[in-house]
Order: sequence, then C-alpha cells, then structure tokens
Amino acid sequence: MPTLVREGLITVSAVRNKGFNAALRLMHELENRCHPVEEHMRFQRRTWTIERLGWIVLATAVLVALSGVFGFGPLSKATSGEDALTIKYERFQRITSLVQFSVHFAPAGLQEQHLQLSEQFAKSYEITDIEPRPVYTSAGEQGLQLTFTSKVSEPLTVIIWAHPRSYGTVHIEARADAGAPIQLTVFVYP
Amino acid sequence: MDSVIKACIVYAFLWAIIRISGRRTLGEMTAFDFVLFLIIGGATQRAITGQDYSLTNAFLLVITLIVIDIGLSLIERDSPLIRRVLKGTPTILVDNGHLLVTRMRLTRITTDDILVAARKMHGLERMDQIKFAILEASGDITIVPGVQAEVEAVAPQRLPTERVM
Repeated sequence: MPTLVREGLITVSAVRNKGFNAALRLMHELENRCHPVEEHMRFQRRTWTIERLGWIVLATAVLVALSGVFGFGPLSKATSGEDALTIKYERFQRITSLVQFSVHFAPAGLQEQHLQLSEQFAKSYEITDIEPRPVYTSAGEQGLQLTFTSKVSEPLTVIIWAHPRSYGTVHIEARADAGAPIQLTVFVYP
Repeated sequence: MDSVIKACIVYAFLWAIIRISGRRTLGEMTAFDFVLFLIIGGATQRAITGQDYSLTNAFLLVITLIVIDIGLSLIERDSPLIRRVLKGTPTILVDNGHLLVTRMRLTRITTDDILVAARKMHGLERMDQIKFAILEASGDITIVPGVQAEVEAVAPQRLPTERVM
C-alpha cells in the first residue's frame, strides 16, 4: 500500500476512503441478521470481548503458576528461624500434596536434640515420614515433641514429609532446646 | 456435604473454561482435542473424588452433576437470556454467498473449515455454491447450499465418455 501511495496511484483521499469503507464493512458485518437464524450480535460481541479477557486471565494464571504462587516454585520457597534452628518449607501448599519441611539444628553440644512443633501442625498435617527417625515422640498440649540423637559437634538436618489435611492459613510454631520459638506461616490451597 | 460443593465448583469451572476457549474447540474436535478432554476429565475427576472412593461419594457426585444439569435446562427453557449466556448464540459466517471476514476472524473459523462442513453435509465443492454458513451455538458449522448448487446436485453434469465401437 505505501508504495502505491508513493507512486501516486492511490491518492491520500482514496486511502482515507478505503479506511472509511473498511469501517462501513465492519459495521455491516457486525449488524444483526435474522435469516436463516436470528442473531444477537450485541450479545455475541460482548461474548467475544469476555472470551478475550478470559484468555488473558488464563495466560496470567499460567505465568503466576510458574512463579510458584500456587505452590512448588521460586516464590513458594521460604526459610524461617535463625542460628539455633532454621526450617526450609513451602510457603504455598496444596491440600493432600506431599510437602517437605527441612529442619536444621546448629551443633548444640548435646547428644539429643528436641524439636517441638505446635498443636496446629499436628492438626493440619498428616506426617508420612521423618528422616532420620526420632528416637522418641510424644504428643501433648504443647503439640508434638520429637527427640533426635545427634553427634555432639555436628549440625543435624531432619526432613519431615507431610500432607496438608485442611486448606487455609496455617500458623506453625517450632522450637528447639535453645533459642526462641520460630513462626512459620503457610497457605494451603484447596 | 463437600462432595456436593466440589461438584458445583467443578461444574462452574469447566463451564467457564469451555465458554472462554470458544466454540471452535467443541465443533472441530480433532484427535488431539479428544486427548486434551480426556486429560481434563482425569485431572478434575481426581480433584472431586479426592481420597474418598466410596459408593456414597460417587453417587452424590453423579446426582449433584445431573441435578445441576436438569436445573439449568429448566431455567434455560424459560429464559432466553440465560440460554444465550449458557449456550451461546448462532453466528452467520456466509450471508447470501458473501464471506463475513471479520466474524470469521473473531470466531477463529477459516474458509477451509467452512468448505469441510460444506463437503461433509452437501458434497459441495466451491465457496460460491454456499448460500449460508452458520456457526451454531453448539460449535458446528451448518451449510445452506445455493440454488445453483441444488440444481447441480439434482442433475449432475454428464462426463464425456468414450463410446465403445
């Protein structure tokens, strides 16, 4: 088209006319017709608009899922705690899917390490495995108490595998022998 | 209780997804679309049944889905607006032999799709034999042949054959 204009075959007004004609044709195409079927073009155009907005929403959902906001991704990884006790976990989890809590104890100069998990944890999770296995487990009003043996001068890492049993926000409190209790906040998707 | 709620949510979600993906997906079902639908079915099935494999749960799910279906069909029967919202409306793509290009772009239907439908339904060969092509609410393309095409169909042209001496 631009070459044609340059060569003077099509004048500017003709191009304008063409645009006008295109607009006319568009209007003509989007008119209601009633033969052989009755159309509802206003409704149909709105449907097309909503359809396209829907595509944007779906594409956004895919991108957001890749970022990990729906669980299992970069934005979902979280670490809580300081020197004595740190826990790595998934900030966003999904109901019934298997998640990992990686609990790291600093060397404490003791033969035994205790991990106390609040009652909320016991209520919201079904523990499938703990590695290494605790030598002693007890449950009470303060929640779950796990006792592990460790070498005196070495750090200890315990992996807890669990399934969330209910959806919503879960606040978990964890505490080792030394140090203040640490807070984990997890959101479980239905 | 939760199986009823889950069934309702999944019904609404699948309805929305299928409406958003457009009618193209429904009418022109390719082998790949079929596989896609199997996967969608499998993924949602596990989410609604969860870990409850009891007969009660299965029956409740089936009953809920059927009740929603019957309920919506009753509402649709009495309200044309809701029928349009739930099912969509037909769109004419070829009007008296004229291709409506903008509409075809918006519905993502190509001339090939229309020609395929024309061949399947009436054995038509060319675009100019088509009087009307309509994209139905169900996603199928229906064809109304032109008068010329009808004449050709009634009296097919004799092909010149060699006379055996």
